[in-house]
This record gives sequence, structure tokens and C-alpha cells, in this order.
Amino acid sequence: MMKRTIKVSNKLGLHARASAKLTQAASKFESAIWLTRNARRVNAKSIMGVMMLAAGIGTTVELETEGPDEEAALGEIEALFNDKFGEGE
Amino acid sequence: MIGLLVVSHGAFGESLIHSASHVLGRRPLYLRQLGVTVHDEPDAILPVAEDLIRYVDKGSGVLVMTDIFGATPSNIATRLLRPGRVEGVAGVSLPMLIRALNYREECDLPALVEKAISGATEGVMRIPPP
Repeated sequence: MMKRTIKVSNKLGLHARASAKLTQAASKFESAIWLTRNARRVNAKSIMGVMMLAAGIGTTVELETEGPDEEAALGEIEALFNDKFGEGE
Repeated sequence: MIGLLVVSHGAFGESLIHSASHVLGRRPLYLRQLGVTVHDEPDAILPVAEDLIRYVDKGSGVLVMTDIFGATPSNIATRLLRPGRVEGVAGVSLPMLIRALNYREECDLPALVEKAISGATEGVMRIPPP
């Protein structure tokens, strides 16, 4: 199992479209992927779950991956956050 | 893939589809809507609805989503139902539609009915204080 704490840096946070991008990326991996914020832990492959985190800019979330491709999954999802989900701000 | 048909009042269904497409970043296939207005005669619009069912049914069945149970769109939706083949749910919302879109490839029709309902009910909540 791999874990990483990530700061949400895009202006709109994990809003609907960013959540959709995240869940689409997560769904490509075989590993189980979880996101946690304030004791709420959700399946990162579920768009409604990810939106329920209501993670705005400046909040931190914990990313966990577990399975055969956990390292690649962690890397790709962390890169999405760092790329501000392609939103530029 | 399970086909989806929204049967609702006026432009509500089209707005839902627009909003879901915006969230998902694409316009989903085999998702259609029928907006019912006061000018529509239920008997006259039923064949249009049945035509849409045939269009979205790719062999795995169709989930019909309507807004208010007991209203005219819902009464039209009821006449479309074929147990096991065309199932219906009322109380359609954006959380319900997005949940259904996300699960319609991996679920069978009875499971998708449950997913749609849980998506909608879990979308109703008091917003936690900041």
C-alpha cells in the first residue's frame, strides 16, 4: 500500500469536472484507490464519492493506492493534482 | 451498456443532460430525454417515447428516469416499463443521472436501478458547516 498527502492547489478544488477527471484516471488502474479528507474516506473511482469530499483550494487530502499497479496509480493521480487538473489555475 | 431515457417536465431533462455532459467532459451515448409540456397528449407522445426506448436499447435494457412520481411525465414513463427490460425510477436529479452514467457499463439493469436510487438519496444532505 502506498500513501501520499497532497495539497489541493487548483482554484476550484475538487469540483465536478476535476472529480470526473480524477475518477476517470483512477478507473484505469486495477489497484484500489482511496482519498481521505477529514476522516471521510472515499473510493477515488466514484465521482459522487470524490465530490462529497468537498475539497477546496488549500485543503489537503490523503491518497492511498493498493494493488499491482499502485505505484503508477499514485504517480498519475498525484500528477493530476499537481497539474491543477489541466485547468491552468 | 444500459440505455438511459429521462422523461420529465419541459426542458428539465435536456438541462440535466447538458449539466452531466459538462461534468463528465463529453456527451454520453445512448442517453436521450423526452420533455413533456402541457400541449402534449400522453397517447400521442407515447410512440415518440417508445421510439427513444428502441434507440437507446443496445441489448442490455433501458433505465427510464422521471422527475415527480405521479405527474404526467411519470405516467408516460410508467407505460414504457417492461419488467427486466425497461425499468423506471422517479426523483431524477444530477447526482442520480451521473451515478447511472458511471455504472451503466458494469451493472445489470436491477443493479443500476439500485445505484441510481442510492446516488440520488445520498445527494440529499445538509451541508456540513465549513
